[in-house]
Amino acid sequence: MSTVAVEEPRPVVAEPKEPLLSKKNRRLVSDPFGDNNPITVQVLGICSALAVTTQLANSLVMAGSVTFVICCSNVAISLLRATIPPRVRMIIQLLVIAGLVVFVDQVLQAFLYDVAQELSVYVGLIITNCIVMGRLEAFAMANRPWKSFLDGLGNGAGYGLILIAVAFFRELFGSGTLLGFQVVPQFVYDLGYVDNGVMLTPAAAMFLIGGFIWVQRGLRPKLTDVS
Amino acid sequence: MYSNRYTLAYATGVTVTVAVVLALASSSLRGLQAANARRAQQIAILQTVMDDVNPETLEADYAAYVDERVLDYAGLEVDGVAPVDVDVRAEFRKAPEERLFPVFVYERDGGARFIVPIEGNGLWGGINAFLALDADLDTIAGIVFDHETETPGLGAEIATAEFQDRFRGKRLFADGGEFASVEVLKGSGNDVAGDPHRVDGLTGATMTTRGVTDMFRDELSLYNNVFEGMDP
Repeated sequence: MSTVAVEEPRPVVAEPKEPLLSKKNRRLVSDPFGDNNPITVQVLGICSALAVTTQLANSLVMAGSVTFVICCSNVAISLLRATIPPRVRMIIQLLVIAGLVVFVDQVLQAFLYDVAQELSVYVGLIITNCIVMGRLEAFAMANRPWKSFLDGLGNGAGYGLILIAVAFFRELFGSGTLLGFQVVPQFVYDLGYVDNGVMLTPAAAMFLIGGFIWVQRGLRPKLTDVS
Repeated sequence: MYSNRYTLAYATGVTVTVAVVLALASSSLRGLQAANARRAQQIAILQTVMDDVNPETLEADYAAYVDERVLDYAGLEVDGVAPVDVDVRAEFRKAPEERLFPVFVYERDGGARFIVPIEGNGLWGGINAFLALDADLDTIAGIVFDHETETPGLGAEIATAEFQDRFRGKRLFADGGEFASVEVLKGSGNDVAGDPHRVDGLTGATMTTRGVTDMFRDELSLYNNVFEGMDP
């Protein structure tokens, strides 16, 4: 009798059923907006944040494209994570990212031709965006698909938020427009106001991002120890 | 630990899968992409001479007003080649005698205008334009620029209506009849009123606008030769 051990449920190894949008999961999405922002806190993805932010419309498409790529690659790598040989894991990650980016480029060429022409090389450069591979290495390789998806969503949106904020100021002060529409009225120009050419250069994006980082760290002293 | 065989097979498998998916996506979207490119070209051609191009009547307008021709360097008609099939960028790299020169003749209300595609190099990559000339083949009726990778907000500003409008009414030939081309000046705010061969430039886009100047001089001196032999 005593040998017939009743199979006891193994202690908590099987993850407890977690609601899809539990507090922890919600934090995966919300954290990258604040204390874990990929651009202002981790200082990743700076290159494209400088390059595509002269116009708001381009930044929106870029933010959407990057979010799509991070979400999909996170889910794909998370699904494959147990089977990927460690020696080639980064190559596999890169393959998945590159495949998705080329796909996005093709779709943009087919359905958003004008925007695709404007963004041209920068879509291709999503492949080298450190945030994408960073999330794969840091998160998707160790987490389940749904969590990885949320993590991708949060990081893509956190990246996009900064991109849009930077583009807002650069387009407004550099060209006097927003989304291509004239916002600075003509009489202001008549009074002697001129668009600020510096805002159109990448340096201006650097200053703006620096400003954001300054404000954020000023408000959240715990972040100053991070770097 | 994974065996070498597993690793190799795994990498191959992922590569092939990605390649197949992309090939499928590419071939299924190619039709749409080509149609987009064709539409963009028709819009650019019509924009050189029309203020408002109505996207809904684009194809009808284009068919009604534009006559497409392909000429050789001597101005003779080349049979069996449609301008759509001419890769202007590839032609740009050939010797003039071997090049094909597409000409789009816009005829409406009795007057003809000649629209030609021209190619050049900007700061980072190629720049190109559709240039419309009045029937005298001298006065610029309009121009629409495009570019591959000029800096957004700086060199890319050549593709804005504001910059393109500066070319209207400029002339290619001096009063004596010799080819004078059109020069884009460095920086903006230059006084060019009354000068038929100079155009105000763009601050921060000196290299790109220099490319525009070169493009005008090089390409139009070739087209002048084509026009001379052309059957009007």
